[in-house]
Amino acid sequence: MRWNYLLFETKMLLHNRKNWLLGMAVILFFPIYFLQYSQTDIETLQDQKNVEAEQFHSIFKAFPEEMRATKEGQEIYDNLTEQASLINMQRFYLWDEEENDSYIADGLRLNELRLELHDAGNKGIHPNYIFSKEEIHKEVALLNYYKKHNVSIVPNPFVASNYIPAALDTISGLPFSLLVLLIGSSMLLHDQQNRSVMNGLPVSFLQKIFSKVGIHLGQIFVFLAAGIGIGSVYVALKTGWGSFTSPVLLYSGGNFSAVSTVHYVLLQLLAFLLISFLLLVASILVSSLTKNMYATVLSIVFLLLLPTLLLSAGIDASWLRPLAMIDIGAVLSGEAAMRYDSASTDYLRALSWFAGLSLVMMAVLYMKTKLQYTPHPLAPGKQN
Amino acid sequence: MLKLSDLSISYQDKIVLDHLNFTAEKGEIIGVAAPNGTGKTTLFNIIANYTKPDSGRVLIDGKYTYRNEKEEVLIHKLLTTFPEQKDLFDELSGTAHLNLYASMWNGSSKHVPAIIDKLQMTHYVKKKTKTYSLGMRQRLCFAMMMASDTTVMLMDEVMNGLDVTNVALISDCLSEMKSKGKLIFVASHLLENLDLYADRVIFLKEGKIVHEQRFTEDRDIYLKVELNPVGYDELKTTVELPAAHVYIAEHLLCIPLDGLTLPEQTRWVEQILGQFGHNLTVGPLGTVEYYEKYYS
Repeated sequence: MRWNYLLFETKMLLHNRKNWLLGMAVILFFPIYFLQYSQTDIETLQDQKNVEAEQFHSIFKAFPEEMRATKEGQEIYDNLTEQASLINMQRFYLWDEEENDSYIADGLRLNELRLELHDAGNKGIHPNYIFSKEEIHKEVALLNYYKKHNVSIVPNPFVASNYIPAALDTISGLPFSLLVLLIGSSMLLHDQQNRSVMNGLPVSFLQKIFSKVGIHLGQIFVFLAAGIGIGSVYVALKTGWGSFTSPVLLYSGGNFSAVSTVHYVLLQLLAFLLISFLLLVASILVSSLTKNMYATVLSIVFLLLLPTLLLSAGIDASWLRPLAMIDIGAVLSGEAAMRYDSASTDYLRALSWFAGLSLVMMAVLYMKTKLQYTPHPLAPGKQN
Repeated sequence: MLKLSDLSISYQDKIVLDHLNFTAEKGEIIGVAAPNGTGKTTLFNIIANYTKPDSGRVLIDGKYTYRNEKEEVLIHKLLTTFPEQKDLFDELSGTAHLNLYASMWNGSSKHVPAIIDKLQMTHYVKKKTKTYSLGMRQRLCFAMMMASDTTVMLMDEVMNGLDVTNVALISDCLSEMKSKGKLIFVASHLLENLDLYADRVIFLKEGKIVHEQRFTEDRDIYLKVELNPVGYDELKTTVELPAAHVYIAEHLLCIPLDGLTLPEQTRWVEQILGQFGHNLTVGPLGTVEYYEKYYS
């Protein structure tokens, strides 16, 4: 009977024109967003190395002459000279894919030298040109990944493998939440509008909820998968597939590590799955109170916006951080950790919060259902 | 099969059901007669647990009551309520509705084509319900009940919007379902129609069952004559009417034959034929007469 109920709910979902429209919007987003993304000024590896190389003119110019007379000063100067040389060699290696290993070896040496300068207190270097430790660790993580996995360096940021995680990061947060809420907003609609047909079905409330949430999750992921698929093919035809084993930086526990694009995209999708589940369960809970789908969507959106609103108003809202982590793109990239000045705001914490909050919501729904069967004292003249 | 014990419910100052007790068994059709707003739908809603009573309980199959959701699901496997026409899914066909009910309660929709044939729905059942007329929708709602094939069925206003032919068709189906051991509650404004298939008709008034008419037992026979209040007053002055007589809704005088000797019965027949001959009928009181008795 549960299976039959699931089939019926699926049939109803397939009749839902609003969701098809939203699905089309999701699917079209991936190819359409590329038109804008391809126009953005994304720094390629060549650009990055050119900028770094050019900075050395200023670094050497600003280096105090008197320091070169000291032993320490001379060592720093030599370090900077070696760095400039390594960067220029890297610029050369980027022209030839065969020279990937040399690029990586020079990159690792370059970052060693940068760290040595940090240890020496970056004396004589203008603060504007100090390469931060965070940037160094990011670059080392990427280079080590290239070395360990023997992956060729993809200098073009507009290939499909680079575009898909970027597109998913773009819709993460409020846009994706809104999409889930709008798709899920009609979950209880026909139970309310077709009450006498649906009321007496021999299925428990929780079975109904899980069936509805399950098929809506399925639908959201079919739309996402279709969007990713169509977007990838479109971008691949325009610029190439790239490599889905190429590294992406992932923030975790205060550090950056490099993971493959597939790993990163799977993490994004896992987070989307948990966020969708949480929001769908939350919308059922809220709509059981509001009995109105617009009020449900608005109240949840308001809740999701609250951390940002309070932060911009200068009010401490760290207790609302779990809601802010809905923007999983910012969490995975470490941007959220910096924004909220909290090193622990990483994807593991975010996923744990989503799972925990979902469990709490389900527990509330379970208790709410259970309470309906609690005998109440005689209530003559009760309000209807 | 179904036992209602001490059911009470009130809304603000209005008592809708007042310590109501009732028992029904499989293979019965129970008619529920009462004007609008006297608690028929509330009674059905309480039996199906869509409404919580202030007190009392519903016991089904001697063991299930609405103590928790698990029991409610078990009860709902045995019980269906009549869908309202306005609640049908406009975008779905009649067949989809029937398949839903058949599969949800029986796990199979093999018997659906036979129901469609029986209720003569073949020519429209595959179309979307938004194209249906009132009568077509009502037949579909009834067919959904047949498709669910549960032991207990609560049918509120089952004959709404049906023409004479379809009323007869549904009445036949009800009788057939009864013979298969179903317990069916029917609330209908077609009171004479209830007499055709109901085993009992209960009359609700002020939250209580004021009368239970049993069609399966021997019933008192009455001489029934259409009589206006003036004629009734005149008759009372000329003859002494039996104490058990009833004068219903200021138009129908009913004289019980039970307890009268044959010469007395003959005398009453002659008396009434002489005075109001063309209006005389003989028989038990029907649902219509009881309805008028309690609600006029």
